[in-house]
Amino acid sequence: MAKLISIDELKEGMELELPVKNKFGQILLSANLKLEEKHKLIFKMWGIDNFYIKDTGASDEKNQYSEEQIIQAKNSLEKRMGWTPKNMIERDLYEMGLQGILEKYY
Amino acid sequence: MNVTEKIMSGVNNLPTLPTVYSSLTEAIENPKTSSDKLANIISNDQVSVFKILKLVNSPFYGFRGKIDTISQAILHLGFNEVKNTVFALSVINFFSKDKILLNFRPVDFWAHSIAVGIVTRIVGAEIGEKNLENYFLAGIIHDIGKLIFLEYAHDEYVKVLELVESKRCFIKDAESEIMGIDHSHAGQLLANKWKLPQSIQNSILHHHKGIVGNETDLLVASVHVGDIVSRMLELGYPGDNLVPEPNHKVWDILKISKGFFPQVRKRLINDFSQTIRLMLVD
Repeated sequence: MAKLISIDELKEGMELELPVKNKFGQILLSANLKLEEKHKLIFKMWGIDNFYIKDTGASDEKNQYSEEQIIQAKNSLEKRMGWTPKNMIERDLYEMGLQGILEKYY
Repeated sequence: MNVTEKIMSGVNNLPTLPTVYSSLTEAIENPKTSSDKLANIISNDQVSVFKILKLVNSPFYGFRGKIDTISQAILHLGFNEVKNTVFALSVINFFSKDKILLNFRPVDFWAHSIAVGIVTRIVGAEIGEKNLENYFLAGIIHDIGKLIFLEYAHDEYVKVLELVESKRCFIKDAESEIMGIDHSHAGQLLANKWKLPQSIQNSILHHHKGIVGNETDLLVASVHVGDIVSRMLELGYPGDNLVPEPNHKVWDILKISKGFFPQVRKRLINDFSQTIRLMLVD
């Protein structure tokens, strides 16, 4: 039950569904961590734009996929992109592409 | 003769536009031509009539079975949109679908092009563009230069496709490296020879950058986004499987609302699967 959000959408009390990693794959924050307001600043310092939180919304289309499937789909998309979303419309594009891969291959 | 000269010579020797399109263009320039006369010109080509009626009654245009004749299609869509659809169908038939090179199949190429046409038109509608008639066509023919290469520089294009595989690079970069020009330039040469409107020529030439100099061009920006969305969703195959980074200036030009892309994804995929069936099946 993962939902991709941007740092602008971070709210106190949200829980990380997947670990936050840097571009070298090193874990910066572990899964299940409860986020606080200070994490916005930390993410900005680390250059992290998006991360996965736990989402309890039953309508989320990604709910039907496992954490592993989401990670695989994410890796596959990012390998083809070679760039990271820099604004909310590009995050929408990314989200759309991710959902497309999950539906097509998993 | 180098590759660029070969391409120039090939384009110069290409036949002129399909007859039905030329007749329609001439007819529309005459203010006395009635819509019945225009419908008659299109009706001479029964294959086009059948496909156009199927297309306008598909969910993409949204008329859902209400349009029975070309005259009605002209009434609802406008003459230029119908003329452009005739043209798009003619261009798809103009080039051979059998020239398969390595993993590059013209059918997959057209599927990508049609996807770009669909996304471009949906983006045009989202941004409130009233004059949508060129959007679908501009998307469909934005990569037409690749077929010129396939037709007139076959051996070099094999090298291009091999380079794409070995370097995992964009096909436009491999084209530039091997042939000296990329498909946007080759396509514009053809569009110019066919005397297509400047807006369409611009969308072919500038679709990688998404902008034309410092000017705001909604059509060029929409085709740029259409290409990225179609690649992201893997609709068809444009010759490489990479997703280019959008030019950030297009977001200022288009002002697309947040949530738009995830919301339209299912509709895009549905429109795509129905439209390729209609346009690519002989």
